[in-house]
Amino acid sequence: MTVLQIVAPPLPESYKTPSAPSGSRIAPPHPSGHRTLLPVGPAYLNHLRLTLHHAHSFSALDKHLEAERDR
Amino acid sequence: MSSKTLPNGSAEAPIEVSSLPPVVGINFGNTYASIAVFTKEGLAECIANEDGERQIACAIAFHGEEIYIGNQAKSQLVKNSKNTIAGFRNLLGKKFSEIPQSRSTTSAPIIQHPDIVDEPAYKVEVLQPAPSPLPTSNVTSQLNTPAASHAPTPRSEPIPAERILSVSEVATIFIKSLIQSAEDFLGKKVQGAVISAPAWFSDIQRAALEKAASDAGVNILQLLDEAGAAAATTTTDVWSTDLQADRTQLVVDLGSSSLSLSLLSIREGLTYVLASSSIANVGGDQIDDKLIKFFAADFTKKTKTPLAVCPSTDIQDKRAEAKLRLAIEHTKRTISASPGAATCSVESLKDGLDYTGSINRMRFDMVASTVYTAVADSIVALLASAAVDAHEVDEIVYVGGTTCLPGLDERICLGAGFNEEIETPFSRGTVVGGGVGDPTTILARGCAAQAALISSISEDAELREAFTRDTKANRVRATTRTLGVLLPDSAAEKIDNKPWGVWVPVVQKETALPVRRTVSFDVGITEESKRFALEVYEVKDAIRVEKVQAEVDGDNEEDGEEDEIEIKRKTVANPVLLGALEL
Ligand SMILES: Nc1ncnc2c1ncn2[C@@H]1O[C@H](COP(=O)(O)OP(=O)(O)OP(=O)(O)O)[C@@H](O)[C@H]1O
Ligand SMILES: [Mg+2]
Repeated sequence: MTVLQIVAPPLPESYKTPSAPSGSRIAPPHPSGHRTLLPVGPAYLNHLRLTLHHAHSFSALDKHLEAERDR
Repeated sequence: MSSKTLPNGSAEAPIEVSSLPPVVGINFGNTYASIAVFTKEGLAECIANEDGERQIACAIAFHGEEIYIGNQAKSQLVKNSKNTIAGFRNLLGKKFSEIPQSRSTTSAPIIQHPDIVDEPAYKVEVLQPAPSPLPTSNVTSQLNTPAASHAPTPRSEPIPAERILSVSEVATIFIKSLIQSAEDFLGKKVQGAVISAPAWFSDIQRAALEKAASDAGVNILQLLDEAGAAAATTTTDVWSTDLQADRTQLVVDLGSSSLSLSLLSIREGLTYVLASSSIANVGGDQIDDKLIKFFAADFTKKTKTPLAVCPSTDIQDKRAEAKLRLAIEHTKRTISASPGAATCSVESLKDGLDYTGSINRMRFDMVASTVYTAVADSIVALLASAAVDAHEVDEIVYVGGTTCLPGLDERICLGAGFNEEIETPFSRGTVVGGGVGDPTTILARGCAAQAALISSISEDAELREAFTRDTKANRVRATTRTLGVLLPDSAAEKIDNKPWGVWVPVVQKETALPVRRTVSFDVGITEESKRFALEVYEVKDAIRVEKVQAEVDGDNEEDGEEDEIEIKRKTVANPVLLGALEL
């Protein structure tokens, strides 16, 4: 979690929340295999747990890590 | 670390050793190795061997019945060079026919192994103990009782013999001695090790390194690329508290004989290589040649004795060159450690004449200038090939002995176009005095951290295996643009004809997927505007070049020319609105 020290500028009276154009979507990522993780550090270990054991579910990983901690 | 200043001391007492698993990290360079273990504080620290060395020369010397390992062996390169073996790591896994025969001939020659086809080996002369004349007396002598009552048999003289060692056997002897030092320090058996390997090592070379280590009785938890070992250190909490968790890091590894550059994307500890290069024949050896020439010329000037070095042909000159080569190790370390001048002293350099000379930092940097330039140029080339602007690099990390030189850091920071505020261990003051940024300890500490991490895995073997062999889980998809939130500001500069505002990047480009990020900030709401809005965008990171008037000093004012300098700033381009909400 990143905690930031920022000040939000005041919104003018006239501000209306814009709506995203219907076609707008996020850019495609690099194709699989274009980037290869270095097998180092606790973050990598958690990435392995996430992909190999928890089917990419962060909440499942959280539960596992909590259980580990309580042991 | 000149050889003669280091008597046989003892390794530091094993008082502060943690209860963590007895594992060790080994940086196995071609020239120097280092070992790291965990201390009670849970920190990975480099330890000294029994000769008090933290940078342990990768050298083995045979002298009569003795075997010297480390810096003591290196000093044998003067008088006993043909029985001294150095530079063997890079030969691991190589065939005899693959090794250029023009290699330096000062140390033990590399020969074709007499029994194994196309296998390189070293031939050294040793003294073998003579066979014991009275085998029966062994039994009593072990019990420490006086020998039987017949007259003592004089011990026969040891017999001169030839010993053939394969490259692998040499590496095994060396690695064994490193592990022994770690065990002496820890006071217990080492149960696992992570060893570094250069990125350019082929699979065959990796296998050869693994075999040499397991022949030494080492349980290898991982063979780790040097860039990975660096990342393992620089993503720990002790590295720095000020650095962003998401950053682009350039690792500059300059050793004796090679330069390796790695541009890394670090995202909350998850790391991959964006681009890398390795360049042979740029390193401390080139600086050494120049420095030896500098001192040799000074010696000739002071003594009127001719001395031709680098290259030297005459036998006296060769020996003088070898002596200078050993002595300047100390000179270079002094230059790195303190701003004053550094000396170089050699007893009986040539014709019985002693030599003492000195060099200051400015002069040293001139001597080393071509190497500094080669490094800066290689960095520029790497960034260009990766299409990464120098201003996108947030941090430079130095690895390898030659990067201890402050003049190199200065040249890189100025010469390769980086942001003035770029983070380096020099800018944080953590290089000198064995600080966390000490370039000679980073790889071993990273390996030790990995060893502890891997041996802590309590789940099934699948997770452990992912550390030792390439797995599909490593080949990730990664973002190509940055996702973030905008706090709109009608008074802000426009981007794409739209007033921009406070931009908060959340998921940076080059982040491995899947990803989760949480950002928290407080929002102050004023009486006039009780509204608060967030717009979610995906943007392309960009660099804006601004021309600003340079501060004109006295001299320039007169010629009336207005000096403009370019300032680069990070900005965004092509924002794509994905959604917005008002709270
Ligand atoms: N404090 C220092 N200041 C300057 N140079 C140093 C310092 N410490 C070591 N060196 C130099 O660094 C070089 C060794 O660096 P390092 O241990 O990183 O090499 P290596 O990785 O084993 O070798 P190679 O690059 O050949 O693979 C030597 O030239 C040595 O003289
Ligand atoms: Mg190296």
